[in-house]
Amino acid sequence: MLRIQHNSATIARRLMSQHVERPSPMVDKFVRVDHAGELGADRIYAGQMAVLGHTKVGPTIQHMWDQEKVHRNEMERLIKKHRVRPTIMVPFWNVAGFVLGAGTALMGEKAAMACTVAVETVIVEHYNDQLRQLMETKNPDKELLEVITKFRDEEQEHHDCGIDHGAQQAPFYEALTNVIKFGCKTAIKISEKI
Amino acid sequence: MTASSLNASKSQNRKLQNVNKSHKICSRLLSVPSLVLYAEQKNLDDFRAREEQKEAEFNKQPIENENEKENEEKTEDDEEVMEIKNKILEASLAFVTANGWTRQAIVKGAEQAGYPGTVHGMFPSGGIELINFYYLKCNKDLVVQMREKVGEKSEKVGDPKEFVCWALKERLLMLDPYIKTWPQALAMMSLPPNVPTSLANMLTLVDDICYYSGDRSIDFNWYARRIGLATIYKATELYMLQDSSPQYESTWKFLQRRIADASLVHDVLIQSEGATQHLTQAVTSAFTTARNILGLNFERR
Repeated sequence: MLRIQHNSATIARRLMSQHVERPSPMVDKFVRVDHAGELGADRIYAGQMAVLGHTKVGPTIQHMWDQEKVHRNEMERLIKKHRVRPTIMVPFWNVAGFVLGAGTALMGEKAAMACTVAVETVIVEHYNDQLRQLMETKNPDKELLEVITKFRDEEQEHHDCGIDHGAQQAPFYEALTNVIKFGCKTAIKISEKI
Repeated sequence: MTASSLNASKSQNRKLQNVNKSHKICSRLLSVPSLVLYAEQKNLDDFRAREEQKEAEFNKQPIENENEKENEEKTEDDEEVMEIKNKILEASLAFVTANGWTRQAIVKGAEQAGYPGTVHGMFPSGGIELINFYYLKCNKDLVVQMREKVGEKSEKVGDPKEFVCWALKERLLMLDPYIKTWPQALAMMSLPPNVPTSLANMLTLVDDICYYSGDRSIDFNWYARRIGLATIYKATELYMLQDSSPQYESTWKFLQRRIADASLVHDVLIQSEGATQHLTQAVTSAFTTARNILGLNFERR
């Protein structure tokens, strides 16, 4: 009798244990690339704020930046929770994101908004792809699904916000967004793997 | 069928674009907001078209899903095969001291486990499979030990340095029964075709140790710690092979010295993180100056 009690206690402890096994390849890939993406987004807004912080679009960018910070923290929590290997490109994305944000912001607030629109378009599509793939699996990770859905919606808001602030009147709008979109897609491909 | 419909939709798109173009000119004449509206609409249409195409691609997949069922049956078979393989390899370990990490050891192990000796055909790459089996088995045992030591709930261990030292020692002691034949195993693991697997096995080992020692870093330190630990492990392993002191005493001293060195380097790196902050500040101030020179100072406008 005692032994049974003891056993159930150990089982309960094991269930509450914080130590986990390695994640499935899919979760590993998703969380790593999403973390890299949110990190990049955070840095892009940081770059924009460094240049446009004191203009009239400052509060708008600050609001979006704050949301991205929440996203980034959430992804960092998921990385720790699932024991996911962070991408090796972290230091590089850190710098590249800031440079992209500050660079487009220097071209004017409309170019900055165009950059936001381009990045968020790619991210929303990317999240949609992930959601589709997750739904296909047998036991989709509920938490991950919810987190991605929530973030997808907020990124869509940022996209719309960028359009509202006249992103399409930016100089060389088509060329600029296409270049940035291509860059983001490449970054996603790289972060999925390494 | 799908190709023709795609073509049709393409031509439709083209027509739409033509219509849109005329709209574009008109709207430009009329007012700017309508241009924005048009661009927004176009963007949305593009987006919708892309998403719909992806959905369609996804819906094609059920055909592949049927193949998945067959795959499932196969994996069940695979599991059975794996079980038998593991049983044979487990039995073969007893013959490693006498026969080395070879096919012969596997043959004897198979006979011991009650299978015909010819079953060694299940292990096409021979001795290396036995080595990998043992390596992974030791890794698993170490995880169990570390889990017990850390306790179930606590996330941090008292002193990570001490913990890492203890874990590496435990892991190296697992090589003790086969120390005489371990050089052969090392040589086989470093043969080019075997390198990827052995490297992966070792990284699994150091990843586990880092995880249980409380490393939760999410930046470049993640890589630095694991590579550093792998280097220490490999160096100590080589030292151990030549160590003739009783109970490997000098090996453990060697290990402690390596860990002390590594933590020294680590401390320096941590301190230099402060230096990178100074660097960021310098860059920011240079940036602000450049902005002022270019007349982009928005505050004064």
